[in-house]
Amino acid sequence: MNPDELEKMSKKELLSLAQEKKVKTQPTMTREELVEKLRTVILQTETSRFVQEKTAGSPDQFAPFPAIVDKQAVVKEKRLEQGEFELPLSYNETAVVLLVRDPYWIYAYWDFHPKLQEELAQVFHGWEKVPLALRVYNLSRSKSGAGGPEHFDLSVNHVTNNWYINVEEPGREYQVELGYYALDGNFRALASSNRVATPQDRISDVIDEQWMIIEEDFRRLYRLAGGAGWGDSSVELVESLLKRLEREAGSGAISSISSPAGAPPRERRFWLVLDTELIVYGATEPDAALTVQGRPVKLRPDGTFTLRMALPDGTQTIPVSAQSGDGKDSITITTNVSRNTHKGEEV
Amino acid sequence: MEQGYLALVLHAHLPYIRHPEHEKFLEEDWFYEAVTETYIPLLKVLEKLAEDGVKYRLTISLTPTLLSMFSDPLLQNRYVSHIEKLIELADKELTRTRWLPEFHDLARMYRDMFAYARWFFVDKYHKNLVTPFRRLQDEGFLDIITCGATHGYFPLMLQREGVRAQIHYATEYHTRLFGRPPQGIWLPECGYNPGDDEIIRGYGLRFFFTDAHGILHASPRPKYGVFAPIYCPSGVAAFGRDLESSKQVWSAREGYPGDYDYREFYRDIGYDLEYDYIRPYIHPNGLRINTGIKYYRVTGPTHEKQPYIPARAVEKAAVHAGNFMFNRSKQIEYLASILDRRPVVVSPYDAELFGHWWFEGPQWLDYLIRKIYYDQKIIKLITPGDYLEIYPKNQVSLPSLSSWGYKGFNEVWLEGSNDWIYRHLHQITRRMTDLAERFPSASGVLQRALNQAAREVLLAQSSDWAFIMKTGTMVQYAVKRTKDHIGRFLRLYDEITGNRINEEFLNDLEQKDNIFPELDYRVYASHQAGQAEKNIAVAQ
Repeated sequence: MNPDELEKMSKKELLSLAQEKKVKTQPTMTREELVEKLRTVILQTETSRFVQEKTAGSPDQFAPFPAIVDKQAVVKEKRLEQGEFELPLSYNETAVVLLVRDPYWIYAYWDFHPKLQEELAQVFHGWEKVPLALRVYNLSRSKSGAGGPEHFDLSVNHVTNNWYINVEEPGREYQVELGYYALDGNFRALASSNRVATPQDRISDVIDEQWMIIEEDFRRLYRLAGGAGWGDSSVELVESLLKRLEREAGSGAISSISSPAGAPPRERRFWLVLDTELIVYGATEPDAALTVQGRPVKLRPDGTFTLRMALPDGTQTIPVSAQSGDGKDSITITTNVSRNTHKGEEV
Repeated sequence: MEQGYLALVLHAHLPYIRHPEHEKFLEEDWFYEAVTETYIPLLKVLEKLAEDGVKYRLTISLTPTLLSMFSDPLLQNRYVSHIEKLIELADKELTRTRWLPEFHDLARMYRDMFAYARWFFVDKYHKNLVTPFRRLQDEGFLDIITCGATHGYFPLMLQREGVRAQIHYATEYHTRLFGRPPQGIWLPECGYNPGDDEIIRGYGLRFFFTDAHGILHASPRPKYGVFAPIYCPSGVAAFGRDLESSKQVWSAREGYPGDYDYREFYRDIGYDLEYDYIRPYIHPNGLRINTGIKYYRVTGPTHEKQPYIPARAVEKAAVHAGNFMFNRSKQIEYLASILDRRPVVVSPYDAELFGHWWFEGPQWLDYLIRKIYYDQKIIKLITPGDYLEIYPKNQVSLPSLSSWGYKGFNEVWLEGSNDWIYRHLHQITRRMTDLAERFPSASGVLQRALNQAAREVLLAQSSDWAFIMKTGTMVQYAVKRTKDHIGRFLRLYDEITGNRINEEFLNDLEQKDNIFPELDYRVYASHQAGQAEKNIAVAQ
């Protein structure tokens, strides 16, 4: 994420972000301290996906790793069982692609052809000096007067190749151009993305006359559709939509469904578990019939036997009887075992 | 006369996990566990209901990856070994618990359950679980629908050829197994991207589902909310999920599965028992894992869990089924009073919730279906297809982009942990289309290589990998699967375009990634788009 976004976040949001990123916080920390702490962490860990807001003439203050990404495609030609394929870092084409994340965010990834990179690097005396940018068009809005769709620019860091773009208006069509600011200061596009449409975040205002319903009834229906918690306004609807699935991540692999009962609580708690089992074993003639506490036990081919039992507190009387194969002899051995568990005081 | 309808939908899916190159592979256990704990218990309930003359209609989506695993001889035989090992463990447990009566009864319950599973799988259905599903379909109880071929997430596919191929191979494989084309589709993760319905229509599918807001935010405003389908401009019907009934079953706080009398999922003897004793039944590398034998009930928010008492849990399942039915009746009575038609409440659930996580889920479903059939007249179970027969005239409106994932859009599958996959997925899909157009009629080894390339694209696209990366458990496996399939494709691509196919490599991939043996790579060609629709038109 862009560290500048931290400034716009509430303290609560910052805290939950810190938790997500496993950043230690103290309850006494102010909002500003949280922002600073998170900014450092983000810069350290997320430089690969970093874009900075273009401010003319300002130095690249958030670019601690100016190294150029190695663009050599490296698909290792080896048998699969011997290890993982390394994916190519680039497909050697100049392109930009847009995807929709939700009503307010779209995602762009891009790639440069190495030839083009070289050419630009020559013009600007180094690839890292090329003032790259994304131009984001809101196709659903026309600029006043001059015509053409509204747009805004995002400067692009050289070490990243993707970015989440915040778009204010849901239900709009967007397109981006990947380009750079030429020496004359004008934006030159190198590649144009696909068009995407963000979804609406509210009920449609379009009403079909053939399918009219009384406004009040529709509001009732709307509330019912989401359970009792929904209010009348679409804002509340969206909020409850966003919150409602916190524990029901939807679906997916069997390992990943959160258990409806919830995972065991993870508070700090020192613990000790003790249990005992008893092994009763012995041997007799292989063709003998054996019982333990009156229940028949199958002998191994060599006449030996083993029983393993959980041993609760109390005394167990265990008669073991063997009868010879011809039924003429029988022997009984009885053993008593007792367990007495005493739990000491917790200190 | 009933006042409205309840459409129960079970979505059964597992990603294609099959590793012939390993003797024992941990992630394969997901399939074996689900067979023992979910699919067989559900089939048992559904068959018993049918046998008892209870008339019901239930929709179930069986994904092509799951169906492929049901049909795969290697996994079938491995399941038999798996269940036999469990029976052996349960036998030992019967001895071990001799002096602990409460646990002894539970050990017997598991022994019986595993023995039943073995009998059901081996003796009754000769190792193929497609058979009982098909039988219930043919007898009119189940409407079995399809899904994306490998559960690819449609809204994040760049090329519509990718979506089309997912639907094409799915409907083709489904039709082969079930003897009739599917009537509807469960979009993977309920992910609807406006316009995909055009492709869906091309394959003769009449309906799909969206999450509640997919319908509520449709335009024009849908008169009946989620309580009746809408027709997309393409003519395909979209049904919206009812959140109230979902919450009752799913929610951690308010949902039934968290009841204190129900079985606790997190206390498994794989973790609880003495190491040497349990060692043969956990992972060969010595890692403790779930065995499936669990002796405790949820008990409450405490570590001191009490033993599970099946009779009490069954009673609760009955109470909860009654509660669910009561709430649906009230909901439908109310809806019927303000609407000028009989409403339909759509309640979809992951099938694996039933039995695996929620041990009593299959019993709950059994009680629910019986109660609906015998005890009341307000609601009736229905399938979406049947509802469209009763109400063929519906409002035309375009649903909104949506999914049933956290926050309701694409974020689960597009965020910091997994966004790196899309540039590769899009690249290989595009290259696959290029290949299909470049080689319109390949044969021999070239044809095999092209078909295998298509399989690799499909397997790389499974939404499960991105989902696992996000949730944070087994991430390495998901990353490896993604890289492997992309890497395999890229190598095949180089070999095909360089006219130097390595047959040994190809053979190896055909053994490992053997999904959809009869697949035809040419589906990926762009000019195939109109063709499928024409074929459907001719067929109708």
